[in-house]
Amino acid sequence: MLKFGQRRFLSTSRILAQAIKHDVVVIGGGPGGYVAAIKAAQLGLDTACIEKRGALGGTCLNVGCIPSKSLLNNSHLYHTIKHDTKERGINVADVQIDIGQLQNAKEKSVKQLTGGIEMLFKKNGVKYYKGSGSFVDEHTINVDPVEGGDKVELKADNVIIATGSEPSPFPGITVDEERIVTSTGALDLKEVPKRMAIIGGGIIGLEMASVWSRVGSEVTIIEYRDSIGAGMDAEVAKSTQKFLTKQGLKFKCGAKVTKGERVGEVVNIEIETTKDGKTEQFEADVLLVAVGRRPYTEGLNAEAIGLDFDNRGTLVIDSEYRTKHPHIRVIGDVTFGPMLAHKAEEEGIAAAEFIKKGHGHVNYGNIPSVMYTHPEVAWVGQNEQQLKEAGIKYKVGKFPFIANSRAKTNLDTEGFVKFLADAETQRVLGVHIIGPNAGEMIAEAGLALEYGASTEDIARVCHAHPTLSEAFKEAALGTFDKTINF
Amino acid sequence: MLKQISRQFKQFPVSRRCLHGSSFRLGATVFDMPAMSPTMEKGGVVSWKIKEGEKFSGGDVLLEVETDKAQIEVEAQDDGVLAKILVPAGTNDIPVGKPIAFLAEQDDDLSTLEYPKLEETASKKIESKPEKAEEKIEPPQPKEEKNTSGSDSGKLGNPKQTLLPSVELLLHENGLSKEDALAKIQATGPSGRILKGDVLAYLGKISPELNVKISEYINNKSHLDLSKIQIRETKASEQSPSSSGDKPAKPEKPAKKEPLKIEKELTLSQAYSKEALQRLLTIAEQHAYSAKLYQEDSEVIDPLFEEIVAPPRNAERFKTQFIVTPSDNSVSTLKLTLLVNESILDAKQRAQLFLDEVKDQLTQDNGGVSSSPQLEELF
Ligand SMILES: Cc1cc2nc3c(=O)[nH]c(=O)nc-3n(C[C@H](O)[C@H](O)[C@H](O)COP(=O)(O)OP(=O)(O)OC[C@H]3O[C@@H](n4cnc5c(N)ncnc54)[C@H](O)[C@@H]3O)c2cc1C
Repeated sequence: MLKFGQRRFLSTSRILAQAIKHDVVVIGGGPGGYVAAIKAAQLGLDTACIEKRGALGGTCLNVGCIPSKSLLNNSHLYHTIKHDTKERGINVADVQIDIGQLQNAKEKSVKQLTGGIEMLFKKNGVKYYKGSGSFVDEHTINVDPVEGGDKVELKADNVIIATGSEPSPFPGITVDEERIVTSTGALDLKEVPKRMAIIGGGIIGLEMASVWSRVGSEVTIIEYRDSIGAGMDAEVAKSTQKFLTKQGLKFKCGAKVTKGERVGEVVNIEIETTKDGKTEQFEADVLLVAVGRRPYTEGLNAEAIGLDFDNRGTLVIDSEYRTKHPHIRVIGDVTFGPMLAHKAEEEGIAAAEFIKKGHGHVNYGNIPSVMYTHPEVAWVGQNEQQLKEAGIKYKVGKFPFIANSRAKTNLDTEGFVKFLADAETQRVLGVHIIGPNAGEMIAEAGLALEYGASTEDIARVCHAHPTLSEAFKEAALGTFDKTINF
Repeated sequence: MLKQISRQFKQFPVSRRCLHGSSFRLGATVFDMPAMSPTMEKGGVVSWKIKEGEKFSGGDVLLEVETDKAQIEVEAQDDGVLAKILVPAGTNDIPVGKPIAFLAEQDDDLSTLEYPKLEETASKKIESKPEKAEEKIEPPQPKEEKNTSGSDSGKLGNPKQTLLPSVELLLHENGLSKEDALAKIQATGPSGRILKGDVLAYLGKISPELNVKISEYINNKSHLDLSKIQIRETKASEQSPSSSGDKPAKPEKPAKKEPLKIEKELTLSQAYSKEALQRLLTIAEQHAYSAKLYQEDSEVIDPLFEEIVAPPRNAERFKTQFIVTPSDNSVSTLKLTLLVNESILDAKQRAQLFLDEVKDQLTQDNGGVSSSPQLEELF
């Protein structure tokens, strides 16, 4: 191929002369974008993917799901070794946490996984452009290179926008990613903050709270609503709060942050209760703003080609992910629906299939959510609040892990499995789990929902003994019959 | 015709799924009418691109299929042989899932190949009457041809399913065979799956309406709710600088910076003191400012997020002026003029809420207020 010097020389004249044409150009290399690109290539389309981060994998692999799970797992191990070995018959002396190495281990996992996607691109023949993509017109995208990329202009028959999301700012609070941080800064702290305050008791807030509290931080969570855990079944949210409180997290619910200001090396915080407007001041060494994420379209130049946004900056789509220009589709966090990596991936597959075959499918009624605290919390389908509101008569089947033999032998018995099933037909409507390994167990619920199974169908499937999954089976049984072991 | 307008060619790969993953050689595989879209129920075979007995490789176009929306090329994903065509070119209204051909492996010997048995009635019907488009071809149904239960809204079960354990047991307990179930029971599960509720409904143990209701509820949840989108308006200035000043008639898009003026006339059928009116307007204003502009129960909306992105609660969205004109002896007219500060995202929405609330308040007070019809159209 061309040598570097020659190439640079040639590329300028090439821009003037012609653009590179692709069947599909994907903008954004996160879970939505990279999966869409690979799928499109596998379907025989000439596909390219533009990513400006310098690494593939998007928020999820670089500053989201993956690094957070690395810290969660290792901090949990540390905490267990430190506090929970004696009664198991293991004597450990002098347990130390090495934050530097904790972070190295995280970096290593991230590097391997993001590099892996680059390999997958090569294997599937996806052309990877390192740079920032912006629309010139509906069919032309300019790539402004980052290090290691080339300046090119692409012509595309089809475009998939998957530019993701960014942390929502909090009005009046300036993030410096050092003392006042978003999740990105919270994943990268170089030392354990003595006191940490977190605005937002959603999944990201609670996961970060767990990590830093396990390694010694005194963590306070400030939640605007009366309960934590956005989207959780109310009963599960309540239990979660109870378990986390037991672990030492402090909660201030029904409170609104009115001030968050860095003064030297501390952050001054003021909150106001939503009920009676009482104010309270306190200090923290690190303040994490985790109040949700918002769609990200900066530099995309989508307005110029007339794409519609909603009031919150979400790119507007139809049921086939099409924008006003039907050859431009949008998937993942930057459009509607839950901001989850696996939702973005499913949409990536569906978008590629729509382009090639004219149809694709994502079942939005069956997208699991998992919070990787300990115990884990996982749910899929409808919760009690939603069913009540829809006027659906349902039955609840619950089984506590304290009555499960495996949980008992593991000395890890917090939580329960809760089934919600239609009262007449026992069709599974929702499953909510708080407990060890809930995130893995929820997959079985997804399978049941997808096939329209009744709780009886689950209860009649043989589950291995002794496993945690027996609790799942027993809870299903509980919706229409008596549980055996409780 | 519609067909011609939207005629487009798409590729649709077909894989011989049935052979995948099994190491031993089977007979011919059945190739069913593919579903080109989730809503497609039937389609026509326009032409076969491969002749009977001819080999094809992955990527070759096997046939062209026509739906009411488009004409689509169906592409083979694997190599194979078109062993036998069951549905000749030109046949219309073939239900999705109906066998249309037999496929085999390239090295299969076609003369000794075993063909799986098809439901006789179904395939014969197509072969004997290929041209009759009007005739409705029902999906393959074992034993009984017609669905006699009366409710034609439901669908019978997909004959290819493995029964759920609850279903199998319930059938057995009630002396029904799988064939009975497939021929008689309305299936509400995904892809024609017979669910426990379907059997219970068939047996009369639960109400069929309830059973249908729950499946509709679940189906509803399977789509993204795109009905409540509020499109962000692009500012007039960045839209088309060239066409400035030629459409002042549209009140929604005024020239840059000028506040939007909304006028509304409401007929008062009762005398109001100025103070009473002022009070009423204040109440309406409070209502308009405090109302939540989002749906709290929606899955895609997070109240916390909405509060955070919303403009400050106390920022002034609109100024109100009102004049009461006695137009004739019995009725007087309240003329409201709102100057809306459009730079605040929700100003127009709140102004509208204000007007609605004023109207409501007046209606409550005297049981009747009519607004002048011409102006009504503005909103
Ligand atoms: C701390 C944290 C933990 C999380 N944990 C989980 C979890 O456990 N499970 C889960 O399911 N989800 C989790 N998420 C959410 C998950 O990360 C997102 O839902 C997911 O990454 C969305 O994927 P996406 O492809 O839509 O967007 P993104 O992953 O945001 O990717 C978009 C990419 O597009 C690039 N881009 C943007 N604009 C341009 C442009 N103009 N040109 C070129 N490139 C561009 C960006 O650089 C980015 O890399 C977590 C998020 C955070 C912050």
